[in-house]
Amino acid sequence: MKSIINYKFAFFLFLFSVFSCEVERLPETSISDQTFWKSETDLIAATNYLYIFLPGFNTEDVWSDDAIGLASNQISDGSRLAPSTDGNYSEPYRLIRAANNIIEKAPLTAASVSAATIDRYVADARFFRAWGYFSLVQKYGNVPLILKILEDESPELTEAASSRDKIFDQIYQDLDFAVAKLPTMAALGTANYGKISRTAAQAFKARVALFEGTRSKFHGYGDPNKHLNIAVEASKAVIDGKQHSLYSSYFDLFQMAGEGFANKENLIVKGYGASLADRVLTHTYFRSTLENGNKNPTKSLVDSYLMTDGLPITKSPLYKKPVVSTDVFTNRDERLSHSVFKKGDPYIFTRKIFDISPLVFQKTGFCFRKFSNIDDWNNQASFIDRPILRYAEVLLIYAEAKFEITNSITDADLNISINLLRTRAKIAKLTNALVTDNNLSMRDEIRRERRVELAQEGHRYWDIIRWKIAEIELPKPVLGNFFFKAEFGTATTVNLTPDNFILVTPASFRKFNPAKDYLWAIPLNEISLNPNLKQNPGW
Amino acid sequence: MKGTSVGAVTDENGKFSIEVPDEKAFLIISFVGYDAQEIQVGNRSEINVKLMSNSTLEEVVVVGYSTQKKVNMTGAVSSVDGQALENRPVSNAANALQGLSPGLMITRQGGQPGSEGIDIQIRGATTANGSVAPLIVLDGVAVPGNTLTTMNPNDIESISVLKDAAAAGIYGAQAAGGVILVTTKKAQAGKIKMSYLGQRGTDWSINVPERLSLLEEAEFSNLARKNSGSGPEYNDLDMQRIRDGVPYVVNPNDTSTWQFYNQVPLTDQILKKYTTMVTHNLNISGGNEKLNFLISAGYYGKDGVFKVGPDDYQRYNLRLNLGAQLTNKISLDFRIAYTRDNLAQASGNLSGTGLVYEIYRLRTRTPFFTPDGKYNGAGSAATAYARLEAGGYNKNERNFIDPTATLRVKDVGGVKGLTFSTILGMQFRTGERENFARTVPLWGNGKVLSYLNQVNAFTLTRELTENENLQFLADYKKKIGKHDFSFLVGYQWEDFRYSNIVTGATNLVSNDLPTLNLGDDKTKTNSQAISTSAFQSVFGRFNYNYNGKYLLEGTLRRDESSKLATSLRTKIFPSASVGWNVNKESWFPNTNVVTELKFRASCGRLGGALGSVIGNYDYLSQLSRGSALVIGNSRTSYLFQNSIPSQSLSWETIESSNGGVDLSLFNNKIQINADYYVKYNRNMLTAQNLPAVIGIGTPRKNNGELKSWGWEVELRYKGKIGSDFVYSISANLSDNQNELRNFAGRNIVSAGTVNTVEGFPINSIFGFKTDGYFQSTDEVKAWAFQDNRTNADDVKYLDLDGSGRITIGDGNTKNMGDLVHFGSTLPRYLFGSSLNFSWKGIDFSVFIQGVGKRVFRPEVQTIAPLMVSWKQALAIHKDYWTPENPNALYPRPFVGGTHNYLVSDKWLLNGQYARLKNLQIGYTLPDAWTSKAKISRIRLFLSAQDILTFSKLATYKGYFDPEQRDNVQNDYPFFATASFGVNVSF
Repeated sequence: MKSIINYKFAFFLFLFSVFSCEVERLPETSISDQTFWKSETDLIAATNYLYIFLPGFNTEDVWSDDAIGLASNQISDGSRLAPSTDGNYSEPYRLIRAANNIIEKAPLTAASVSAATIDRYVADARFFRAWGYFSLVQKYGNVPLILKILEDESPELTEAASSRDKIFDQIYQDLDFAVAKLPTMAALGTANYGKISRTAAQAFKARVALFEGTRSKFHGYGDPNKHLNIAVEASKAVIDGKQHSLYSSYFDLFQMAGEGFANKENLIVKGYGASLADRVLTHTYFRSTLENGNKNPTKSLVDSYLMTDGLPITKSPLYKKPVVSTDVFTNRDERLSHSVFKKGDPYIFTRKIFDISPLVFQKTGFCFRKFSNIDDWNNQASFIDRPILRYAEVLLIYAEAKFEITNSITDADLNISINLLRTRAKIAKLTNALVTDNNLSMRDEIRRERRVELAQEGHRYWDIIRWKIAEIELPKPVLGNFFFKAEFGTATTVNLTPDNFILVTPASFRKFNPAKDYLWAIPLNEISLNPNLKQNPGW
Repeated sequence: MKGTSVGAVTDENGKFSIEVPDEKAFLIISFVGYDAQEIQVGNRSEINVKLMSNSTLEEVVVVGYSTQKKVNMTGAVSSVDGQALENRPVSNAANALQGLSPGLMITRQGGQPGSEGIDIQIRGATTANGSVAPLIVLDGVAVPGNTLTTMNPNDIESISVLKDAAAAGIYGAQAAGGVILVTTKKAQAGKIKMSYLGQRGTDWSINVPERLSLLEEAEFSNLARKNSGSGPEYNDLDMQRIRDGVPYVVNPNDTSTWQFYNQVPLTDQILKKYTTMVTHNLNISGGNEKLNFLISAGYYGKDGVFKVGPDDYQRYNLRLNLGAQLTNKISLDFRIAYTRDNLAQASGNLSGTGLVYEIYRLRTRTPFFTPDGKYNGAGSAATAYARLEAGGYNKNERNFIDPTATLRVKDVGGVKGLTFSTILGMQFRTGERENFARTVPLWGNGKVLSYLNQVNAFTLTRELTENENLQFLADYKKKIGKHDFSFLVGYQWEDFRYSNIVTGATNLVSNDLPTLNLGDDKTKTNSQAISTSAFQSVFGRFNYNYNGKYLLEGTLRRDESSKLATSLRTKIFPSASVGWNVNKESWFPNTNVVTELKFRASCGRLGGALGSVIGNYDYLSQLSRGSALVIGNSRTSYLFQNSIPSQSLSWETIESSNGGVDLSLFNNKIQINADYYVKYNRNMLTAQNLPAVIGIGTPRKNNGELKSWGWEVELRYKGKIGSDFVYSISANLSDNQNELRNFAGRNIVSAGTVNTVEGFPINSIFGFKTDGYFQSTDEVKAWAFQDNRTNADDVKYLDLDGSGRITIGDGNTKNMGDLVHFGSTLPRYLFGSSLNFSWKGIDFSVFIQGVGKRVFRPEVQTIAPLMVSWKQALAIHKDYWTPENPNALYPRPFVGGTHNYLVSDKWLLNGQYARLKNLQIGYTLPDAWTSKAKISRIRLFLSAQDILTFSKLATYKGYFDPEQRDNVQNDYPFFATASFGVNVSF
């Protein structure tokens, strides 16, 4: 018996010695972080990731009084509740972590990459860190300021929020570094078109500073002029740099014709492409958002376009009450018909020529026109880039910041800024005389110019927030086009105002609480995970 | 002879003779493995006796790495005899298993030939992190899960389903989802026998929705637009043309296009009424005690539902099972299976928003063809016909070679009862997928308007699976007096490797010769993926029983796996179980009423290594790569870290306990098995819920807890009326529930199906309660605010929290506003029942399978009409609210009426059903006829599958199928099959 046991034992020992194998298995088709960070190529691959965070086409205009979708938006009508989790809060922190990761690890490549080259990519990362924090502070005000890579045990996870002042200072520092170290647009060249340039960082700094300058001015806190001066300085630097200019056609700016390096108006774009054969990234913004009525222009926006004499419809002798739908566009700022469809425009494949907005989709009776393209509609794929920061905005920032510092602006300053836009739009120039003669308000006209020029590009909501007029504009009823009965169809039952405008949402369904709605709610999940984080007032 | 010592033994043909004193004499006829019978001789001089096999007592069941007598088993194992799978016109073995075994849940997504999306679960959920599939072991070797859908169902001798820790524990880390042991038929020594099974069936789809006539569709659309404040889609002229039956007119505004008024439903134009399935199986076996063989060859083919284009499946199975007795102690068993299958389908999606949805929901007015017979390019026309007929294909061909060799040495070293075995198993499986998206011009009037697949593309995927499995087992059985011991120890090495290469080219010069060589070099793509893992395990089992009364079993397994960090690789999985054969106690009344009574109890621990809960390299910090970024108007790639690696990751372990009872009554005529179990997954993986400032996917930790519990009952009855009428009835019923007890504090809810919420079952449905329709605008005003669009004749939701608004509160379980928990998507009370009888040459069987309770949540755009303007109303939608029809099925038509279709009890359907899975009527020709033709048996049969369904879908019947998935747009339809077949044995 004993010998048998020994025999068995020996047998198994033999088996184990032969077959006891190594179970370790390593990935054969991917690399690890430890073996990365060796060359400039690695830095390029790492910073490229940041660019996927540039926002694509969206429906954010429906937050404002400029647009409404198929149903009322809860940010716009004031019925929003505090969410449990929110990508608006978490996504910027993903970007910030990726940026912090590069800022911390880029020096690891020092053995084979020069310090200047490392700085150039760190500058990219610092630009995007600033981008992330600006989108947070815009919505939430004070938020935790994280400037390093966190691990799951890091104490910073439960850090209290930093003040908005501190966050803006950090944003300025990051952007100053970016401005100093990033290449110019010309140096980037066609091959790198879409990457952040020195002027892009400058222009973004101007956007940030104008936001905070005017917000602190109208909401009454902080030092408005500190920010407004930065805005003037940064926007003037872009203007004086002469790297950028307005593109000749406002309509083509949002078409394939206006794409690419040759168009000097775009400073920051989200690139789409490359071809039908190689669909790297495409969008169906026109077909699924505009044509399907997920973002329709309101009467409020359409009414803000001036007549060709430079006067608003309420003051201009050129204005006539419309009888047919095309009358709305007669003698108006050219940008209106470039931004909103009118009868006769090329439309979609199944209705080649636009006649009137079908109210089943375009609830307001208006349809946005920027980025519309029949072939793209048919292909269900468009390659038109999304301009995120245009030179036109830089000019508008310059004029507005200049004005808000002293509550006045010279005709000379208007001529190097806003009037360039009005010339392109073929309307009379804005002058101090025009304002005085017609009993207009310079501030309103500057703001109007911004609203009109940047319509449908996602600015209006943030503008009415920083000007503290959201509490006035958002509770108003949402109105649409004049109800042209013969054109919209006689069988249509639609709510109308007494003066025959399409009533999309009555005022009773809309509200805005100034004590609460100027800041967004921090997601409830964040509050419960971080005892040091305080909810914004009213939520 | 009863009451005497007189007896007789049969000869090899089963004949016997015995002398009896008188007519009152009773004979007791018995045989090992069969029920004994008592027969009064009477005045007969010749008595024919047919013994029925005694399936419980001596039944041997395949268990992990071994076999066991059922009477000595202490674990929860149910076994399925291969016969139950035979002669059924089903697509594969997994499908045939549905409803046959309690606790085994088999669901399918659709009826697409070769791609039914079958999912197998044993005893419900084991984790909240996706589903854990059972381990499939074929002839002792673990095989990929798809084996049950690719192997020949006719090769199966038996299937054992190991459900509790006692039974599955020997498989350790991979056993959390249960284990299915499949044993193929073995060669029988003896004369060479051949048998053939042929079957041909007709299929028809059972859930193709009925569409409206064009006139109804147009009226519905116009009304919906009117209700939503818009002009009509069809003007008066359009309506007149529809009434006049005008098929089309040239568009006066654009003569290159037409205005269509097609009246023939798209479904009728492209879907077949009937399709076919065919199977052939040939089986040859024979040999002697020294060397025997079994060869089987099988074919299964089925055509899909589309009239044109690639839409079919064929499978070829070949198997050789060899048995060789090398010496009187050493035997070799060698089995090899070859499988080849071909799946052909259209290029592009079929389900979801693919082909099927186009046919069901796009406008009837636009036909597939223009008046001059070309593919229609009108903007919103369905391109399904063009896509199927000319738009290329997606073909998948797989070739599997699965060999297994077992070398067994008995009585090693002269020790009786000691057996050594070595098993070497491999799977060598290739897959080749060709996807060709062919360019098809879509026409207007004399002009191409657009293209389907504007740029043609050809993608070639090659896959290779290479798995190895090596086992050494030592088995020792010893009986000392009334003490019966057995030991098993073993070592197992498993190596898994999967690799694929995907290459593609676009812009091919020729539209009819798809090859990579003709593509545009600038857009050629290629990529590669390799995944590998390895397991090394030692395990042992100890069985003891005292006189067959008291049973004890313990197993222990130590698994080392490549998927875990180096220092945490090894885990130990113990289990123990006891049993008590009460009927063997001396005090137990020895009557024919209770012939078996056994209590069983077990507990143990199982690991969740199968499935995707833990990836192959999750403990390592890997970088992900993407290239959907445009810089300089060209493709640009980037690298990033997606999550912090989970270095301390370990298996989810399931602590399972089971109690059961086995009862046989009336000489084993009635058998009842019942089990109750509770499973705790106490270290379930949860992604750490960290503040968003972490900015990256968080590492997972083993700190969640899921409780899952349920019961199973199985009942069998065998009977006989007279000497010819033999019948049996069996039924099984099982239930499973679960509760997520801890999931890193996750408490977020919303209207819809929420996968993980603490305190609720996984995949819970939350929604609003409704109370019919508003009948007046005053009622709307007085009610809690719902939506700006709400009007009379819209759905009325209940404001349960009295907030004056219909909301989800804070969106968490602390305050979920007006949300109500409607249960989980998990089906409950699964049952299967079969009835078989035979009378002389006729045999008959019925098998019914079903679900006792299920909350079925259809996808909203699928249940609702015109949720978007291009998804048309169907026949069912005619039943909408009007003042005359205030209790209609649907609210008033409204384009994009999302306010009426919030997730609510109104749109949850009762998924309860009972389905006639199989009905079989066979007739075996009398021996007298067949023996003349030297054929030992001919059986003709009719076999039907899924032909009858009882469900609670009520009005939705035929529109939805109770087996359909939750929240998915139109899937490929299910089929019912009626087939005719023949069995011939030589």
